[in-house]
Amino acid sequence: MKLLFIAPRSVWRKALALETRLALDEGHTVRVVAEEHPGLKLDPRVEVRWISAGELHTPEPRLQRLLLRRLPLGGLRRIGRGPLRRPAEKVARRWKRTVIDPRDKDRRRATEALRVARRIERISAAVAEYDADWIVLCEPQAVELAVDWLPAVLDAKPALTTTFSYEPRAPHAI
Amino acid sequence: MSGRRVAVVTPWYPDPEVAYGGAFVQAKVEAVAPGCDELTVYHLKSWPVGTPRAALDANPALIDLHTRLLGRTDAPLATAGGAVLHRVVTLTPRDPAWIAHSDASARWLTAALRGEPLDAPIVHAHVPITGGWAALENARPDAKVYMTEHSSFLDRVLEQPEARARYEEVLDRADGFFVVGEPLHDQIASAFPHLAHKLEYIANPIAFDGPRAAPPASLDHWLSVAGMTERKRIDYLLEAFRRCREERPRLTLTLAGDGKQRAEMEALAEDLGVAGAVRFLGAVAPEEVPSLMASHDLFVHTSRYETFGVVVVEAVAAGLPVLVSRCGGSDQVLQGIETEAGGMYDVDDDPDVLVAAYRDLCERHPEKTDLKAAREHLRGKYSYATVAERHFEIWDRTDGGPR
Repeated sequence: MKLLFIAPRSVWRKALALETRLALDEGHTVRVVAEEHPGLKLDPRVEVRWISAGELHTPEPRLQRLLLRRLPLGGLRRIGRGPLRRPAEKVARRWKRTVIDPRDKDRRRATEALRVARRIERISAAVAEYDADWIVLCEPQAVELAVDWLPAVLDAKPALTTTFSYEPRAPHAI
Repeated sequence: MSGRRVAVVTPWYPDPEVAYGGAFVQAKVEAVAPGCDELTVYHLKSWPVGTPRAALDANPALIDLHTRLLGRTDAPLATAGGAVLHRVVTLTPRDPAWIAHSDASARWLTAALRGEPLDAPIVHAHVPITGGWAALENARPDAKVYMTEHSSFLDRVLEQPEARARYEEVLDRADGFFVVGEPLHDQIASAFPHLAHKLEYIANPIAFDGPRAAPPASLDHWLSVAGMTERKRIDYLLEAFRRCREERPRLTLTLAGDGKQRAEMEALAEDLGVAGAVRFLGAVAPEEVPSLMASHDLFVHTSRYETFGVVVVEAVAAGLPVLVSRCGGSDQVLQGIETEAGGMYDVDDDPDVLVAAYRDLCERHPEKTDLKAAREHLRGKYSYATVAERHFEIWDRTDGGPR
């Protein structure tokens, strides 16, 4: 059978490596769509489609970086070299807390939105391209993101097997 | 044919990612499965989803999809003792409220069973707040539902009013309620004194095959098998080891276990100047533990609190002398065989307490320890056969046991 393992964040890398190897050893064709990670050691027989969401970032606008981060904090650092060290540090902390941190939080949120969109796009592409008989949703975000594409696939392919892992099946019940 | 058809419901069970997680539940399955006509394990594997503190129902599309997936996924897996294992992916909110986890456990087991009750007249659940509630809500009306508490986090469950009320209901409704050690017994009995009469003991089974041929002649090669968390006090162990090593430079220490504190502990070993004598093995698969124990001279346990003490029994079973902190569960395990098995010491922040216990043991061992006697004593309480018989005695009761 053609198995597609979906691991958008590659959080359980040991399990992914073990389960894909087991599927290969049992004669299946295996493709993985996952986030690249140095700790993920897959069998060379596995076909991989990397999501590469980690390379996406929302950059800080240059003007904002200059006006809200570098100039004020640089200035405060300079002031802090003299006798006004304590008040300068206090103002810098407050500036970071009230001005910079909320913007960083917004940027992190925007980055995460970009990454989620990338994950959905790459997973949907892999599903469309591979025409799997069996989909393994390997981790929580695989299920969360599947909301966007899996219901339609299940409607179109009622015989599609879906599981949350690939492990040795019970030969029989005792 | 024993006539026993049993469903086990548990939030903890080993899986390909974490081979040691819930290994004691798997050991129980291995012990009892041969005495059952049918034994099916439902592993309620928690998968956190959503944004922090958002309710599970905040994403109805996810709920619908997961219900659909559980209903169409029937993948019975092979597990210990010839039993059958179902992994029930339990989507849980990122919420510290235990009631939310309790509700999610019952909900997803219902979905996995497609609304049918568990097809077994005997249900044995682990961890009452999650596994126990799921079992009660999904057992058939005539089923007997038993449960075992192992949790080291029970204090956090009971400090949440809704979870506490749920716990009381679970304790009240269970046909049998078991704890693995005195600390849990005392904790639950003091929280619910009107239901204390329902509490009974049950042990985790330990393999007693293959002890070392002879007791270790020296106590030079120390072993610790513990997660790298604050509760296990690896920093305390490292400092005590350093002090002992000043007197005996040939000492070595092997640390098996992983956790959040690992990098910190590696740095501490460097700072203390003992890095060359300390090996950090990381997580070790349960099946590797006996051979690891057989290749060391002394098992050292420094935990602040334990509900049982599986690893202490494993060490004695492997024929290893032990030096164990009085951390609750281990006190009960070594009761009456403390000097035969090695020694115990008080939980104290002063590493000299462990150093003194080590010196004392070195003076007594091997002439005044009796590892064989300790081992036989524990075999009578914790062997697979003993623990299986205890389960069968409970499950076969016709009077339903204590109320």
